[in-house]
Amino acid sequence: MTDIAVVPARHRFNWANFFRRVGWLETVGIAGVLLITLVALFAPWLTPFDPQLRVDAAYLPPTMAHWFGTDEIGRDLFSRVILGVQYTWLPGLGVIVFSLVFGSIIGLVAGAAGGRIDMVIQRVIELFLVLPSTLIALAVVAALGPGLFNTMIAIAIFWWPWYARISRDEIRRLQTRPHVEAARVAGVRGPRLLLRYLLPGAIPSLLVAATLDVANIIMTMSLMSFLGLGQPAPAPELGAMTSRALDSLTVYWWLPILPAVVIFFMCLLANLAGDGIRAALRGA
Amino acid sequence: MTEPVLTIKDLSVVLSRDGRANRVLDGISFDVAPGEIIALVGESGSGKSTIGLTLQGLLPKESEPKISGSVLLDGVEIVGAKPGVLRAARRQLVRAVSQDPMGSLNPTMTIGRQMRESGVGDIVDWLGRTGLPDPERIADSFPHRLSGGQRQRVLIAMSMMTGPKLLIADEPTTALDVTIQAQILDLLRKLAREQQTAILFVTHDLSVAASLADRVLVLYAGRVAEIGGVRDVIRNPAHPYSAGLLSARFDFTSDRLRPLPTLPVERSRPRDATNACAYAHRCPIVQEDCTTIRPALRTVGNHSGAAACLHAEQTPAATDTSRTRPLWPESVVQRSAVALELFQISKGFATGAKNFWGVRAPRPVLKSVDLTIRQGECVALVGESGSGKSTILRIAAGLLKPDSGDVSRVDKIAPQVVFQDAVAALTPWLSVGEQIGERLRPLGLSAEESRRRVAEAMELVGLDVGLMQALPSELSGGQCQRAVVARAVVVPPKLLLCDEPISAMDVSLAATTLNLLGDLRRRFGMAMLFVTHDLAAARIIADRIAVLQHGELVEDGDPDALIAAPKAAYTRALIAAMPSLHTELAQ
Repeated sequence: MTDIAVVPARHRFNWANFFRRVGWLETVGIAGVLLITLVALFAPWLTPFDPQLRVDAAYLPPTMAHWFGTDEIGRDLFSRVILGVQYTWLPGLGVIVFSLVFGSIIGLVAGAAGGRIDMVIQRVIELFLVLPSTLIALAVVAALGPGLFNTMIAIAIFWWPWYARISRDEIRRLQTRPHVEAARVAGVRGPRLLLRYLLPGAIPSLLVAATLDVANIIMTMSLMSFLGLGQPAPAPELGAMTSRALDSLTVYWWLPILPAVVIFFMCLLANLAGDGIRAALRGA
Repeated sequence: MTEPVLTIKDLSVVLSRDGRANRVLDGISFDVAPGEIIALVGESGSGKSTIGLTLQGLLPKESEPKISGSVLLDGVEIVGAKPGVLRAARRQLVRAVSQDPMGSLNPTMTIGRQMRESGVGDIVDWLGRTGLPDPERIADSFPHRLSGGQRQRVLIAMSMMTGPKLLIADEPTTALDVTIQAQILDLLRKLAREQQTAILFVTHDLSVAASLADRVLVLYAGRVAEIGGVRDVIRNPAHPYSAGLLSARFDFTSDRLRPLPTLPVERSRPRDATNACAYAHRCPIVQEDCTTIRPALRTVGNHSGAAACLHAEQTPAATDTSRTRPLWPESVVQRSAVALELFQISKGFATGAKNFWGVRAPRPVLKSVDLTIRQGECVALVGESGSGKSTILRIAAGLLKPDSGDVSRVDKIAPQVVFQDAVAALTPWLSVGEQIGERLRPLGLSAEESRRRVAEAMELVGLDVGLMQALPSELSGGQCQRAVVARAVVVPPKLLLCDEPISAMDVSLAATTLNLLGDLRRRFGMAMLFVTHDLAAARIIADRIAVLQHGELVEDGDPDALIAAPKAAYTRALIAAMPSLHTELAQ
């Protein structure tokens, strides 16, 4: 298309432009992710009832007093879901951040070094990818014992190679691009080329992959809990709450449905936020 | 008089980008008669492509197009028409040939199948009529097996076989070699005459327009600056902008001893020029009323068309500025010192068919090339695409290693490269100033000192110093090219390598860039290798022209001598294919 010469204004941040570029739905996603993170961080102070104690009759449907009803032993489901956000969101975020950082660094090294180093790193990545991930996770948790931190380690072990692969491919692609070639001609070398000229180009793809993965991580953690390898039973982990209460779907619908709805919104908002971040980076 | 096939009345189009609305077309009116060829000429951003897209109803949705006015296509109103009407118009009335034929062909279908989908007709006959040899074989091949020129012919056959009333050709020859360009233009002209198809030919090249069109329409800032018969506009331009475009046009007769005449650089366009002439801030004959009255199109004494200028009578003739510019300083070529020496360079790429062992046969691109550039000397390397000229440049830059032969450069500072696509050669997420300053880092200067050096370099290439913190996306194409040049000369190298730096530029920008490079190389005594397929540009910038064909240097000599008496048959073909305003008009 035609390009029109405009005098660029000095660097300024304009909220109206930001919304227009990112889109209001995506802005809601970014705000939602921030809100969920805040709720997760301050969950213990936000619960209206003690999530671990019997506070009313069992199996009460949602009322004004108990917004999400009560569970099979009379605990307030809303309080448990709030705490569940903490137990699900923070470990999920932790695994993603670890995989993103570790994976991108490995991929960056492989993509930038090329040749034999690239070959070796790629084979290692493939080794992790072909191992049956669930079995490995089971083995790790069995060896270390169940618990929040061990679950995170077990999942992260087979999660980072995906990011390493994305990062490596993006770096390889960028290296043939004219602007990187131009930077080489201008004498840019070593870490500076990697960190200023290559890595920022790989970040959008990595972030999009990461935000789409939030849902997967939450599902995987629920699976671990379901198999008894996640957090021990009384801990209100959203995936575990849903799967355990699935039997009572036809009678006490709120028990599996409401935690599942919260999971749904967490995943949806994360995906929207991912789209928003990508749009914001593109235009920055 | 016959009914016009296209009538545009007061057409305005507003497109938004990042929430900013731009009036891309502003009150355009003109008619096209059946079988008439009209050239739309203007610099990038003048809205010439937008006219074609509007006619097809293909303006991008995300730019929220707002269209007003009227477009009657064979009696059918297009503006505000239902999608069904637009589709019917696209199917029966309008066809388009674009700059990038590969993008318009489906890579997964044979040519024959695509043409059958496009309309009824004898496919092989049509392919033959566009001058393609062996049309049966072409119909059975996939697009990637064809050359750029062949693809463009296929697209023309595909468009013309449905017998459209109007063909929109948007810079169809810009990406092609000159020899192929001349053939494609002939073909378009022949087919348009045979079928009474009108052509809207979008181009930034006035001499291409002159060799093809009946009438020319000069666009500036989305408005019609001038419209009229090709000869009238070229001989007696009535609008100062047309006159400027014409004088910026260089060919074999341009004066190469002094800088080329150029249009004033566009620094900024007034946001709101509703009550002013859009060209007023660049116009050499601007007067007080130009900023308060918007000029309407009016007939002007010296030709049959019309121009939108209040003072058209004072428009300078296109050619009378040549003697006033100062000469370039004397050449600074040092006969004894060598800046670059290539000795028996050969290079092949593994692109051939795989043999039994799965190894690809290397296809030789360069066959024993010898080339020497002395210090301060500018050598232009001319050849068509695939001749290996960019490979030589990449070897000289150290980006590629030759298969055999020696490269010697006598310089501590690595040679710098000015790339063809300046926008792609700048990293999108780093500020222009940082990227220019990149070459100062090894010197270990203080932050303040580097900032000063970057500012100096930007001033030297004519880039507003205020743009130091701007990102490349905030710059126009011409400003990006200046930034790339600034990066190359912030620490002046002894050898500057230019890879087709002007091939994608419009006339005035190309002339400005040639002047800039000519100035810098004399100022710093830089040797220069200038790779191009444009012999006219090569003649203007270089001390010596080397002609490359199929990986071998076929000719090498002084520009004027070489063009006056070319020895190689290939050089003769190149020269004959160059469109030139003067020869076109003489016919």
